[in-house]
Amino acid sequence: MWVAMTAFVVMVVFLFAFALDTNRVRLASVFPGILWMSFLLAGMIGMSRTYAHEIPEDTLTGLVLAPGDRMAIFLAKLTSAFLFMAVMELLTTPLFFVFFSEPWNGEWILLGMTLALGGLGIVELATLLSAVSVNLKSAEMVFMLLLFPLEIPVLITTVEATTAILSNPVGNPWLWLHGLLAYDAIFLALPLLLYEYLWEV
Amino acid sequence: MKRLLARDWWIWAVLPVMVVALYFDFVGSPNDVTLGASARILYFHIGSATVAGVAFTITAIASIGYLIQRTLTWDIWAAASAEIGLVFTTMLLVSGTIWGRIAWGAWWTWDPRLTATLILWVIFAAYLLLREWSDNRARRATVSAVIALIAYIDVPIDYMTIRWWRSIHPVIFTNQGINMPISMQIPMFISMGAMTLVFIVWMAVRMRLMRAELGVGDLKNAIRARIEGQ
Amino acid sequence: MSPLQHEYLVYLFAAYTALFVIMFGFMYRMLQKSRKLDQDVQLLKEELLGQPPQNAEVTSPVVPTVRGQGMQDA
Repeated sequence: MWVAMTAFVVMVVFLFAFALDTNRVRLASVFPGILWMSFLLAGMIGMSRTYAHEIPEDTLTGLVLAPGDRMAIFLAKLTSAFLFMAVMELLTTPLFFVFFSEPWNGEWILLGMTLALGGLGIVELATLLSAVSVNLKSAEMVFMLLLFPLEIPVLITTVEATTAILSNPVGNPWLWLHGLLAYDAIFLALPLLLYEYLWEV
Repeated sequence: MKRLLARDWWIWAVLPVMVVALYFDFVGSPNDVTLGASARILYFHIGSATVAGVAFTITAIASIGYLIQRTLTWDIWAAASAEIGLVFTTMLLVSGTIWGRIAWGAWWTWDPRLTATLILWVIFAAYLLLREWSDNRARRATVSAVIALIAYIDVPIDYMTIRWWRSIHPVIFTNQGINMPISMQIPMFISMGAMTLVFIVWMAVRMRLMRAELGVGDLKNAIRARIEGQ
Repeated sequence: MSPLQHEYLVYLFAAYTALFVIMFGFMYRMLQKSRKLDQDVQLLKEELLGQPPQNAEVTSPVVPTVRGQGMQDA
């Protein structure tokens, strides 16, 4: 799955590089937006089928029947999705810096944290909605209609934090990182409360 | 009179309250010192906001109720409340943009409060759309309940935006009391009451229609079973 | 208050009044319709229960018991 996501993001990088003339547009001002928009779309493409690909062989029934907590299945899916996302981000973020000639000011830790928390936020929502919509007739529509508005806070906080981190001199991203942390925590806690009802539908 | 009573007279109780609210909004209250007459937009704005918040809260409570008890009555409550809440959120956004044009000079700014409210509108619109796309009643009710609980997260965030972040949206209800003179509080609370009454009556009417729809569905199934049996 | 502002205020009043009138009319019509629907359903139910089923053994519809590919959309 991470191969498809990485390939998708690389394609997006190329397309943006051609769509935005690097000589005329001040790329630094839109760079964080392009970065997170690509990650969001890649996450959507990768995760929309997290549960759906269990359907053809009906393996979900097997998973539900297996001894153990249903929560474990959800958390396992979340963890694997997060790892895919993290690998994809690690591979493609340098590409963004190279192709958009974004100056790098050496804030490794802060940028790494933002990437991890933002990736977690994207993946949490996508996995939760994928679980909700798995058995529905119009699963893809349900998934997209709800995913985009719910991801907006993640997009706002990550883009603002990245802007602060990459600006010269370095700004203060902590307000946005705290907000992102809170949002991540909410959507980690909500499935724990709702997991009993997530799939019986 | 008996005929009127039989025809669900209680719906007429809304009319006088509406008239009183309109009177106090436009005649029985002074102009604001800085905002002038444009403050009169806010009475309906605050009323709609209150009703929208209450409506979505009822949706969330009814969704929890459905997940625990699994009776379709809870689902009807949740659906009717979300529908009416969405209408009031629309009124909230429209009156807010008009007021913003006068007070801030722009129809729309991406302020935290405005953004959160718009997200709320989109999520609950999606919730209602999704309800239309499912035909199995029990499954639809369960999925809708889960989605409503996910969507409800935005309501407390929206309420707290103007208190947590530096927003250009004014704060009226604070810890120190209500940030408004008494002469403006009267029309505000009357509008709030009128809107709430409209909400209650609307809920009653809408839920009655939904029950009738359920009755039609039952009848259809019964007839189908009979035809297939013959 | 300038004349223009006064004119806008009149528009606002008209808009709010129209809003209340539309809401009331909508609710009233919805109430009437649902009452009519209730009556119709009641009538049809009585009619349906009035005539006994002609073939009692086979009235239960056949329900597939195996959950497979075709049942996901049900």
